[in-house]
Amino acid sequence: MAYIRKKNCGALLFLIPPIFSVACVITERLWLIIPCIISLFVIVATLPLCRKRESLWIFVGFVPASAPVNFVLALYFSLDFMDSYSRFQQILWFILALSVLLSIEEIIFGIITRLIWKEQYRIRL
Amino acid sequence: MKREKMKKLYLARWAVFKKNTFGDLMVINTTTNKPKFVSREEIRFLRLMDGKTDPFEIDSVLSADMREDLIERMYYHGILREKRFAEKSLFNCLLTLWEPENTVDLRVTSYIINKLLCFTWLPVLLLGGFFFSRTILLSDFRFGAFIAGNIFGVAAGLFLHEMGHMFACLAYKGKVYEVGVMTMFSVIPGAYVIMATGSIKNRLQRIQISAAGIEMNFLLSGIGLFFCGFTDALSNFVLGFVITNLFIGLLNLVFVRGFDGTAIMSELLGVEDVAGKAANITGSHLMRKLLIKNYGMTGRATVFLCFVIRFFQLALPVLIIINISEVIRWLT
Repeated sequence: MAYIRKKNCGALLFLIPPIFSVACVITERLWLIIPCIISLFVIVATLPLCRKRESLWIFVGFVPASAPVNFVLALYFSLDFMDSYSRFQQILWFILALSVLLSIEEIIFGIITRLIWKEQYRIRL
Repeated sequence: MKREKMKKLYLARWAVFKKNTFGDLMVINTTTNKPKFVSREEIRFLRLMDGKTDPFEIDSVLSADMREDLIERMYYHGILREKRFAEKSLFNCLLTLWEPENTVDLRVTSYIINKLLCFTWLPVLLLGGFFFSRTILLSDFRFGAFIAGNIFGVAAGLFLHEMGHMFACLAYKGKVYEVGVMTMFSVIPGAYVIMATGSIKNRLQRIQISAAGIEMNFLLSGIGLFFCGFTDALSNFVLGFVITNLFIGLLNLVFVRGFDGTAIMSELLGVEDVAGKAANITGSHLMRKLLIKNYGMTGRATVFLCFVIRFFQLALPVLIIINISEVIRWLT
């Protein structure tokens, strides 16, 4: 029981980056993105669970970490830039903008992860 | 397949014959890395397929039925091809324009172009944006010139996108077999390049090959943004060109199956065809259960990864609906 509890604690640390991200959105302080990203990398670097699978955990951890900021940015793009479009079209642009933003961020941080941690295990898919 | 068509088929450049460790002979399509087991006589027969000789007159011990079956199988797996068409089916048509010889001169030229592309796409895009923001806004919007710019942007953008992949592949000593234009579903135009990057061991180089097309689109956008500011007469045309290339570049980054973003993510995660495998896992409760049972938290993370990648596949139908709605909007 103690071992299982210890194992789950590590995964709970992944809640820290989304907290920074939500704080960034609520307080409208862009600089909070920096501790969000740094905390994610520190968690992945220190947790034994993530060892040799850093790319996978950065990818997985980054989705909830960046979700609040990406959501707001995509909403701003679809509502403000596309204000002449119908609601249905705005929803479509929102989905597209969210996909593009998340893809770009995942690729950038994926490359940084691979530069830092070159040797990793294969992901079983 | 009609016999008339079979006469015109010949062995593709990307077909390689090998023997595995057990001594079995195989023909490998190096673009997909999929091997097919063949006999020695079948290899001899395939080597004699040159697109001019009637395959049923070739001197071989294979019967007519065996030849027909072999030709159909090899055509289906991309080992045999038609003269001008790399593929010709109901859904896709690939017309070959150029089959480059992998010479030293071409590699050196490609190396220089690739290095220039790598280091200039971002500064040019940013500077172009800066210049564009500083110039006077377009005084009157000309719809015809804008649409012409869009069409030119699609044609030039797609073709140069594939050339970007080609230069990067040649720069890193990969093999480029051909470049051409294509239509998808007989309607949607595009371009293609058939290349093999299996011999390139460096992961970051393989990533850069996948990203080179996107870099080229952003470079074209950046160059176009400079001209938007300087030449007011052509600015509507150039603006259409810039917007199209920016779109092509940004959309190719999304993790949709078949787009460059998925190829980049596959390399980053170290998984081949990540979108296809994610689809299998999200579609099978048993596979998900097995992953979680065998790998614990890592298995859960992998399942989550698969669902995220599946979410990204929504972007393609959304893009198609947006395009259709835009066309309807402009027409009405």
